[in-house]
Amino acid sequence: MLKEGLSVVLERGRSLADIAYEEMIGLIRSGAWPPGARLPSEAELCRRFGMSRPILRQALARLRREGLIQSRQGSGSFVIGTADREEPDRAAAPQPSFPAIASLGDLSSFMVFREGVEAEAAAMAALRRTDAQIADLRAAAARLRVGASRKDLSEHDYAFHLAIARASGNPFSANTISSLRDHLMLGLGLIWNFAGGRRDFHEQVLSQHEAIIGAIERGDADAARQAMRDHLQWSRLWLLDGSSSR
Amino acid sequence: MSGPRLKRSLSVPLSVGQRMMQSSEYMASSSEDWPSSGRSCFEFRIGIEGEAAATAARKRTSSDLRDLQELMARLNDLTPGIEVGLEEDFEFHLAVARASHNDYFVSALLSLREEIFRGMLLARTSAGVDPGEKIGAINSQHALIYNAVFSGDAEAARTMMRSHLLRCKMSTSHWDLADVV
Repeated sequence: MLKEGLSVVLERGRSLADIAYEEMIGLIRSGAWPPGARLPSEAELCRRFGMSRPILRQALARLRREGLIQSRQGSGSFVIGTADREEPDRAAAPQPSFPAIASLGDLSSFMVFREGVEAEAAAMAALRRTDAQIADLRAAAARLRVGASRKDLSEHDYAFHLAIARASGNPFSANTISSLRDHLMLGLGLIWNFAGGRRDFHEQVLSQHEAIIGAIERGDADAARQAMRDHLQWSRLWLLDGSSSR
Repeated sequence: MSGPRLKRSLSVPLSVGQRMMQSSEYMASSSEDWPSSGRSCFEFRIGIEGEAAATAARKRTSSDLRDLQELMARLNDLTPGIEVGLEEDFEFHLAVARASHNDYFVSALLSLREEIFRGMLLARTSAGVDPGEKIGAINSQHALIYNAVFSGDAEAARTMMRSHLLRCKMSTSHWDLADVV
């Protein structure tokens, strides 16, 4: 075994751990080890690859680092990732990218999605916000009050919502709002173009933002969630229905 | 959070404790903020999937309901302790998102697929309790979500989905004790 291992290292410049790693990647890619599958025991894998446990563990550690498997002591290792597995139906499946907003129906769906992300982000912010984050939120809200052009108003509005997502302390919420900037800006651009000149609209947005900040500052998660949900629902109806503007 | 240090300070003869101690080795070698990232993922899912379930209760079609039924049957047929069912569980949640007929919910879940698997692994496998109990609880929570979606009750669907994910998040908290020293 040792001799064979050495010759592999010499001939191909790779270690035994690399070989085991590559074979296991192959099993994951081929679907022989599908997501959720439990890997054979370490003893079994050592037998299969003809190597010692420390070497095998190096290969498993690399698979873990790359997010392909997760291990639980007492339960074993499980396949988590699919690598770049080339399976026909998976290759044909749509990529998990966010669909563009291509119609008012899409915009409505996107705003419902925002409720899911941002209402919870506001609730988490109420539980975790720091004084510095409250100051950021107040500063962002104040900029929207004096925003000059309609373009500026959209930017300031976006900055306010991003500040809340960040104050949530949840990386998924913050990443969602920052990576979907273009999606948010499309809706914000429309609404501020339609209504930017209307004093009643502007005042209403400011007071709703104020209600959200107030609930976050008080540490009232339920009120923060509800205030954000009310704000987004009101905006959606205003934009798509006109009903809440009357 | 070194293993030997834990072992000395937590000399509790619980199998849960044993597993936690042994876990520190691979936790150190996997994603650095895991399992806290698994918990953040559950928190994020509570928001989006609660809303997706509420929308699904309003928009579901008969074919959506058939898909959900079939996935519940597959989840019920798994052998606890042998088949973990990550793929099936994910498919169930994806089917609820699809029943909302809002592509943004579906895309969000697909893009989080691997993070979701990590969190689910903590929630679906057991540390010291009968794995069948954990799986049985998850299956009944899925059934409550299904019933609310089936009957078109948006409020109940939101509540059931939120409470299901909150329980899953809480059931991962034994990992926190690995930091207690």
